[in-house]
Amino acid sequence: MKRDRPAPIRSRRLVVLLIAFTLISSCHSRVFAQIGWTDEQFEQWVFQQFGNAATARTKLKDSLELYTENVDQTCGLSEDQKRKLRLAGQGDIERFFRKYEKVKKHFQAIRNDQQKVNEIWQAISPLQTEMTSGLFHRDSLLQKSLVNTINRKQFLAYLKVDEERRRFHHESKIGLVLTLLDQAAPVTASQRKQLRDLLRLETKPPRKSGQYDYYAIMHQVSKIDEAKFKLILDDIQWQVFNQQFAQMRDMDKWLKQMGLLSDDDDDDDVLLPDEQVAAE
Amino acid sequence: MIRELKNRKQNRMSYTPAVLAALLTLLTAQAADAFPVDFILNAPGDRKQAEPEEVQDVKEAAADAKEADDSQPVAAEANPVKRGIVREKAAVVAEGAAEAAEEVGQVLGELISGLFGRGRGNPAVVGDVNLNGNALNQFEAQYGRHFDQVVKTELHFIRLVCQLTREQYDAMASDGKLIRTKTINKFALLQQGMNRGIQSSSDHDTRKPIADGLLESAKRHLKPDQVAKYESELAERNNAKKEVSVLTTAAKVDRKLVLNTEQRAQVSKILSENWNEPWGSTQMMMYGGDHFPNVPDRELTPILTATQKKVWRTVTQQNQVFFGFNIGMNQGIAIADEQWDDDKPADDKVANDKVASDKPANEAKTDTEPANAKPVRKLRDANPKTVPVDENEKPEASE
Repeated sequence: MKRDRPAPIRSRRLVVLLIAFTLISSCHSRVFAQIGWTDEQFEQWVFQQFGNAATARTKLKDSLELYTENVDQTCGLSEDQKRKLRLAGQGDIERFFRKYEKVKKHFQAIRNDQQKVNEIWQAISPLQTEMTSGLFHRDSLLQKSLVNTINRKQFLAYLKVDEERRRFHHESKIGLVLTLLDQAAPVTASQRKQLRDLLRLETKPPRKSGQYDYYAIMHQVSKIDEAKFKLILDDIQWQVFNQQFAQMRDMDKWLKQMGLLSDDDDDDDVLLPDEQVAAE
Repeated sequence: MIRELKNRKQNRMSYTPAVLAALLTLLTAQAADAFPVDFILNAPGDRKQAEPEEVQDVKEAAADAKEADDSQPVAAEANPVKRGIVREKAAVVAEGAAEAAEEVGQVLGELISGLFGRGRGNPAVVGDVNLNGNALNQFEAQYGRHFDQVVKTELHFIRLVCQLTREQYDAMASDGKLIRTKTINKFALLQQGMNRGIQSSSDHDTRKPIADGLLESAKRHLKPDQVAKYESELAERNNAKKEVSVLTTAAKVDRKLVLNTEQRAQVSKILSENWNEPWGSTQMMMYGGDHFPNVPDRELTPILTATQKKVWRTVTQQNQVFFGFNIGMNQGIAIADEQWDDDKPADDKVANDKVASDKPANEAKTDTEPANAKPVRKLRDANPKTVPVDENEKPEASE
């Protein structure tokens, strides 16, 4: 029967088979091509929602402009002061991209070795955190240069505004911690108020604020003397809370790795410009 | 498309890659579970299989209730309490079943409208809907413990706030089983939709439907002043949640736009006045990252500077970022059973049986004093003003 079939039909079948093979092999090759990661994919990993390095740089510049504008609103900067701040902020951006380029160079050297590519995530993770948290934190060149850029009166005004912002963010994180604990084991309005007061007293804003602040605050909460909680909570509530805290107590290493916990965290003093000069 | 393929065959035309790709797509679609077919076309056998033990218990109770209605007056007189209980149970079952059907219908309607596009008329109303037995069993196996814990902690909270007697607690715990089943069904249905990429706008807070259900139960079993206390606490809880959501969202906007103090207060006010429930999802607050709620531009932009406006335009604004339902943080957390002064191990007997057997003891108790007092080590948190803190009290080791 088969032999009787006309030649065009057989050749058509051959074409169909060839096309199917091409489709399958193209999918197959796409899967295996993943091992040889591209620069674009690397950028996507680091810059996530920003997509690539160029967009991220633009966003960071916008962010710098917002910071400068904010300090200007508070302190009334001269053009020269603004220029100095922008320069310092630009230094933060360049410092970040130098770190990025270093990791990228390493990535390019090992991009075909799946094992080593997995390892590079340890280097990418802090870059991601820095990008999402923002570069202009307390340890940034921008903030440090303020001391040499603005006068004492301007600095005091800035400190007040900065403190208000820190308190605002801290309050929101305390609220979030309480909401999550409340979901695990509901507390009464009275208990909620007492817990809020306790957390206000016993925790402080992380040195570098960012999207992982919750973990940094929860870590601090987990280290509060349990007797203070037991005065507010009953046994079952404490049992649930304590199990949450236990998970957080051992997170020091991760928090430090993510830059959320620093050995300098206890150093709360802020020196005024002339005091800093004197200290130096 | 199939007709076209046939025509092509008849016309002895060669197959193009596009036709092959379409054929592959068709085959893939056939192989995949086609939503919502298995939602709607469940075999009755599957439904029976899907019924957890609690539902069967409740059905038995309903059957008992029917029997009680048809029984001889002598039998009813012999155990009036039990008859009352069974009738009450039947009422709960009937009400629960009606509510569940209505809710499931609504959720399914949303899911279907999500599948076929929103705004095409009213959500579909499906009266006789049940989940695929396997899906429900899988969901139960994966999340059942979480729902147990939510019910348990909520009941404990009610005990704390309303100073429940053991009988009241047991009665509510019994209702809690039905509420748990109903809630699991609801979220299993949501999960099925999620697995197919369909997002429902329903509230994904697993505690809320349980608290709502227990509030209804409280209205049946507790005194009005106790119900009022629980209602008031629930309102406080919701207010606190909204307050935190507003604060968290404002902080997120601040991080993006570097607001000044006055702007932060204005943003908080705008968010509060235009509040939308899904904005407050826990996951949105924790993991929302660069997602922002759809704040009305006419209110927000006038308070921003030119640079802030420029940055705000690049922000992704969505009213709902779908993170799935929230299982909270108590997954895998062990919670001790309630302890009572008489220290009898908690059992799952029908609560109202206890009412009959313990009645004389209860009658001796006052209204303000719980029948089985000391639900927990300290009750002063429920009444901090009336229960003084003993300064010399040392924290006890956990029981």
